[in-house]
Amino acid sequence: MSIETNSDTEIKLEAKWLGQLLLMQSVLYNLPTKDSIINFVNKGITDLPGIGECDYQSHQTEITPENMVRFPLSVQEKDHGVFLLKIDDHDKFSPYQDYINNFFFAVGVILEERYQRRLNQKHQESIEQSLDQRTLQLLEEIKERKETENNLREITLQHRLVLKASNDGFFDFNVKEQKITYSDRWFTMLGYEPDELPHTYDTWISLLRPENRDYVEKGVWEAINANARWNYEFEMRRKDGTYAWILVRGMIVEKDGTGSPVRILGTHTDITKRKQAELLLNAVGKIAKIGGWEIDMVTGRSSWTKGVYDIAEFEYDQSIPGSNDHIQYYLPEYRDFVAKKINDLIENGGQMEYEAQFTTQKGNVKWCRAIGQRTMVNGVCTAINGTLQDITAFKEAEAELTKYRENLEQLVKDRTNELEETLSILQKTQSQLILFEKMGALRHLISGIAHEINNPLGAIDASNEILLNNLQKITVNIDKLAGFLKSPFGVQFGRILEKSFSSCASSVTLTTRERRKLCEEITATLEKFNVPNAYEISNKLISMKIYDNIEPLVPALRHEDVLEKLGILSEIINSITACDTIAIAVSKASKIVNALKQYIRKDTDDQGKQLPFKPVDIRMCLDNVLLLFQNSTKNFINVELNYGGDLPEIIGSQDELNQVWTNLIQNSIYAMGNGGTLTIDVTAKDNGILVKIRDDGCGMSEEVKNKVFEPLFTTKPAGEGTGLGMDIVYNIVVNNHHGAIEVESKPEVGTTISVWLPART
Amino acid sequence: MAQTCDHNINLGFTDQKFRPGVHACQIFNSDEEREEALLQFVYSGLKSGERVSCFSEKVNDKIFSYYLEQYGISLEEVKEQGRLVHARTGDVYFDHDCFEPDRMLNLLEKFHKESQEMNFSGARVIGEMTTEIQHIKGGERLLEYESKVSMLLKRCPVTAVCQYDANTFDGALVMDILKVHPFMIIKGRVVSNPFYMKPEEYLKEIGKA
Repeated sequence: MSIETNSDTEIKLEAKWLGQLLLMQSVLYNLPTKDSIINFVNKGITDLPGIGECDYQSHQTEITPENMVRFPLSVQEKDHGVFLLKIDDHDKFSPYQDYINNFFFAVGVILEERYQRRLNQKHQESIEQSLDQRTLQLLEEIKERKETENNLREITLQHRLVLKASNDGFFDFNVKEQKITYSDRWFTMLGYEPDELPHTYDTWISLLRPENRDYVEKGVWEAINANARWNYEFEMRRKDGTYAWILVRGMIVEKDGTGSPVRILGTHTDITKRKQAELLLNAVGKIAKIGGWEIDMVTGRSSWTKGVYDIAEFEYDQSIPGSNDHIQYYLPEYRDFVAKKINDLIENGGQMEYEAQFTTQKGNVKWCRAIGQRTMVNGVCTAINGTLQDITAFKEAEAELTKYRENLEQLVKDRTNELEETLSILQKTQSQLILFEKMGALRHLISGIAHEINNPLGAIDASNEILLNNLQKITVNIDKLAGFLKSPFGVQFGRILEKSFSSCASSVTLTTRERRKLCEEITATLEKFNVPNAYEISNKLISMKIYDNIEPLVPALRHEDVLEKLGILSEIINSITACDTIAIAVSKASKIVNALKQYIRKDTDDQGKQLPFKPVDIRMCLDNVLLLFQNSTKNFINVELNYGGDLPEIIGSQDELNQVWTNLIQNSIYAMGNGGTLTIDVTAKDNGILVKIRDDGCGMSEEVKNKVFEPLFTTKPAGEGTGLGMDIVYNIVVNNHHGAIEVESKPEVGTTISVWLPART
Repeated sequence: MAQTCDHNINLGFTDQKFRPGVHACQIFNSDEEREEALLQFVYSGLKSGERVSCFSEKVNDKIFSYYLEQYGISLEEVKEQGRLVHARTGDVYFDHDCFEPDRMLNLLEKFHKESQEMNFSGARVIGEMTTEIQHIKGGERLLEYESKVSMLLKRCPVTAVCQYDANTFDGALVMDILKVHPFMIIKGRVVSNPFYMKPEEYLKEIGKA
């Protein structure tokens, strides 16, 4: 059994409390959070001697309550708060204050360490997170790169196959070695044989247009460095020395560590035609004074092509009006109109089109035509764009044209009036010419007609004189004659007179030669029957128209006064003949008068207006015309008429058709100056009537025949023809009667004119 | 007949020798720290012919087998021989979702008795108290239980180590835990706990005496 002294007890207690502090300190290292540490300390520290309460404040305060001892937890100027210990027994506490100071210092260190650990952890977590992200990115990149490489390998293979079949040239550029593998098409595109030039970068450079070489090379490399996929356009020299426009499209397929391209694949496309078209389009745009514009509806900013700058007379580097202020450039009367057009486009879409006047930046007023459309993104109009054309010249020309058109309309009106007057005059002139031609034909006819009428009149006159003389003689001897006729001889002479009467009715006029021959025959017959004065009696019998069957008359002719008696009978017979002659002459003159009457029948009214067509007897018309021409035809021209039967009815103007036949027959007679045969055939043909007037006169040359219907053309000597006859014939037949006319003619053979007239339908 | 414990034992952490019936706690803050202490304690017991019981959620048969094999010990063999009893913490402590200190004390006593009957040189237990204890029914009696364990171990000298995770228990509770364990394992060393309060004293303080 051991006896503990006070000192031993104190030593044990001191050891225990120190142990508690050390243990707490050891445990503190394992506690993960500040709160856990604070709670642990608060709970454990009050076990120490003299300490009543423990309080922790997260921030240090200047105020320390009475009987409280401060234990700040500050390390490296970092404030971790402060522990305030309430000391109940200073005597018991004071021996351990240093230990407790050390303990709280350790607590401060631990908190600082926790703090630093948290910072590190946070930093580490951040690094780890970045690392994770970067790792994921790298993995993705590696994956993508592998996929890209695989795709590229496949695409390259496919591309080469496609390019082999396509029209593009292909190149594979090893940048570091400055070697370029060109495809066959790359060479042939420029007119070279495959592999004709070295597969180097210098080859490409050497083929660039010399004056653009540096510029193009720089531009291409800028394009390469700006984008993995790039393109550029330039000119390259062909083998024949001409230049082709080439579009190069390239893709960087491999880069080095610094990001510089190592390998580039690409194609060459010949775009010469497209470039030419572009140049043409620019030129056309310049000529057409047209440009493009766009208004961004989000920013309100405008963008123009060079064409619009030129039209609006803005400098190319000058700021241009946006969506809010461009309306002000239009003339006031157009502003509302233009604004409405633009609003309609934005709200309703479709195509906007308007023409308006605006003031340019230089103050000139111009006309423009704007055409526009809108661009929609997710149902919202984000932009409107279109074209603007300067139509000032067009508008001015249009105004001029309107003015000119108005003048022209007046001019046409005036000219029409003039023409109508001229036409009226011409119609009158034509009517006069036609009348003149008609009168010309009539003039020609008149002399013949006068002659033909004069002959019957002469015959009538002569017969009348004979009749008067005979009547005087008969009157004187009427008693003798009456007595004689009652005698036995008279009966016989009655027979002679009766026979003479019957002979007169059918007698023909004898020629001198015929009369002489007949006289000889009758004389011989009478002498055969011993009739005295046979010759004288024969002459008397012939004058009495007794030419045959003489024998029954012989007894009467043996009468002693036969010559006297026959003389009286002869006078009676001659009187009868004279009457017959008068009747014939009157008939003949009457026919001519009727023909003339028919000929001059007018088919127009008093105002000269054409009367409706009527049925026309073509044969009668032809007969009448021939009768009027009888004086011209009867001596030297044999007229043959062949009129067919069953002719259809013709509706027309008899007056006009008479003129047709007159002109044609007159021409035929003229052509047969020395005589010939005029044949007129009238037949039915093709639902109409065909009249052929044929002569065997001098005929026409081919040249004359071709001009025969030309107005004012004539082969007759000056003063004998107007040259309008056949033109009038053509117009009457073809235009007025819808018929047809043909001419057949050969020099020295003759001419046939065929006129076809349609039947009445 | 109760076995007398007249020999000192090694807990496996240092060369220190202790009388059987040591009741210690370990406040760890990493899995490695917990696992190392557990395996050293188990191996030490098996090595000295004691019967060992282990309750852990994280240390499984695979870890045991790997650790023990390096010392030529077959896990299956020691299990078959009843030298090592391994169970999950929740299965032992929280039967029927309830923490009952008396049942646990009975189990401990039974374990000690069986170990004696099986003629083991001693018996030791190591168990990790999980955070569920703070929420489960009966969990508030943890400190009472721990204090009574200290009392029981005087009678039934089973060497016991309680593992607490500093990350899941608050500092104030840790301080309370310290007060019911006479020994602490600090940085691999077994130290006497100056905060320890005798069970009678502690139970009286909390009104459970």
